[in-house]
Amino acid sequence: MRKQQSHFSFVSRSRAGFTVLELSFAVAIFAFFAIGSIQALLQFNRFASNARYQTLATAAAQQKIDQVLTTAWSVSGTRPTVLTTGTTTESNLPLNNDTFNSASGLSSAFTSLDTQVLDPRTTVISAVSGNTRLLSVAVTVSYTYRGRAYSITLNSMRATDDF
Amino acid sequence: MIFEKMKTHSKKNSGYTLVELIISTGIAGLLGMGVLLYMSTAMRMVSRNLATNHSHEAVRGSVERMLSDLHNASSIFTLVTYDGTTYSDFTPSVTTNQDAYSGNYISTRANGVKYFRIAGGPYKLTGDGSGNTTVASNATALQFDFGPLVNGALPYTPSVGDKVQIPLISQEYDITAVNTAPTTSNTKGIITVSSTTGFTLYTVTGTTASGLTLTNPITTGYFYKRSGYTVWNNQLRYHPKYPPVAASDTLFVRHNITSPKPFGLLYSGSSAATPSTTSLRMSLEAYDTNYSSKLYQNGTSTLQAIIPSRTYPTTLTTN
Repeated sequence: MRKQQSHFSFVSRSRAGFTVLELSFAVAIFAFFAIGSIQALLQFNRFASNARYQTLATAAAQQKIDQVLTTAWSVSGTRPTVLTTGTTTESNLPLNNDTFNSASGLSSAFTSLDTQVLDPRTTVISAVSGNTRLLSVAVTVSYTYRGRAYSITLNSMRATDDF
Repeated sequence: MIFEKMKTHSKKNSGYTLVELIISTGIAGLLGMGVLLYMSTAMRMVSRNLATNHSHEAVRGSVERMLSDLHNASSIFTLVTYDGTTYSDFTPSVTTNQDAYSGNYISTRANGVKYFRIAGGPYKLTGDGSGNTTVASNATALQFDFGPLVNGALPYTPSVGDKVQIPLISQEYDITAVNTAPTTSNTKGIITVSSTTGFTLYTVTGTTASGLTLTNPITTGYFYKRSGYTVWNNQLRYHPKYPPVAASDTLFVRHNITSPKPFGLLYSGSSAATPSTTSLRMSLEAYDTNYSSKLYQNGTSTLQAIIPSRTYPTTLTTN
């Protein structure tokens, strides 16, 4: 009889469902996993967004470098304003959109989905010692994304068009 | 003992009660909904990021391509309009929109731009195409040697609408006819230009009318082809020959371009009459139009660029 009782007890135990505690642990583990992976995905998206902003910041810096390299500068003429030595800072440049594209005839069905990020661009033009026909230029574009500052700097040299 | 056995047998074969089934179905449903919600959120986030990356790649690739091409423009940029049927020149006028990057004022915008690019040369002038090695000042036919071959093919073949520039005399001419097209077996071709050369050009050793002896004189010409970009039907299209005639004259650069009129010129003041720079202003917007999720809306990507021609003043004085 004792043996039979023991057998019954075993069968009954194997057919028992999960306890509330077990279920709670399982749900908690799943929730941790779900929240963690969602957070990871969000972080991936942030990394991707930041990478896109870096590309745009590089394009903004490249645009200034292009301007410096292509502005006409004759050795016998007056040096153009854009090549004046010193530091120039331009503020609130639209990094990732064009506000004018919201105008009638220029906007698309998706223009309003653009979120504007503004950035300052600093251009430092320096004379090269011993050479009046050569300038060095450094363009830095900075931006803030999620409270953290980032910057891109491009460097180049500029000589006169003629000698 | 028999009673005990029967009871045990009965318990062993009993199924779940209705309450047990309802509770377990409810728990499974809740868990399933949670899993589905998680999967749905994850998939939407991934697809949103992919879509934004896609549109960003569209503008980045487009601008890279255009920077490469337009930087090497040999003429000023001219805005054009394409309405799905006809290509026509667009006459811009200055607006009050001040470009943040250059400080200049932007013109009214267009959905296309055309310019000349260098297509071939320098090629050696070999005569007037009528057997004369000296090209008279009133000649309009010119013969050039368009060789040597590159990988068994001619790198450039002249066509009507192209321009030829002769640096020796600082002149440029429109090509109005191709009298004899160069071939791989005979690389010499004859073209007719829009006006007389205005100068006598010598191509072989000899003595000029004024008694000057020339030894192996070499006069060369550079050839330019009108090209362009247009945006139409959410596509950025490149035209190696503008206006396009054959299907091969229109190449698709990128899809998902959603800015209807991305091209403009720049003026120094808001009341200036003519553009003050040789730069082209471009504001390309892209959006992955195949992306459909409204719950996790992805953003557009817009890239502004100001593209100057490589030389100032431009190599060609006319467009």
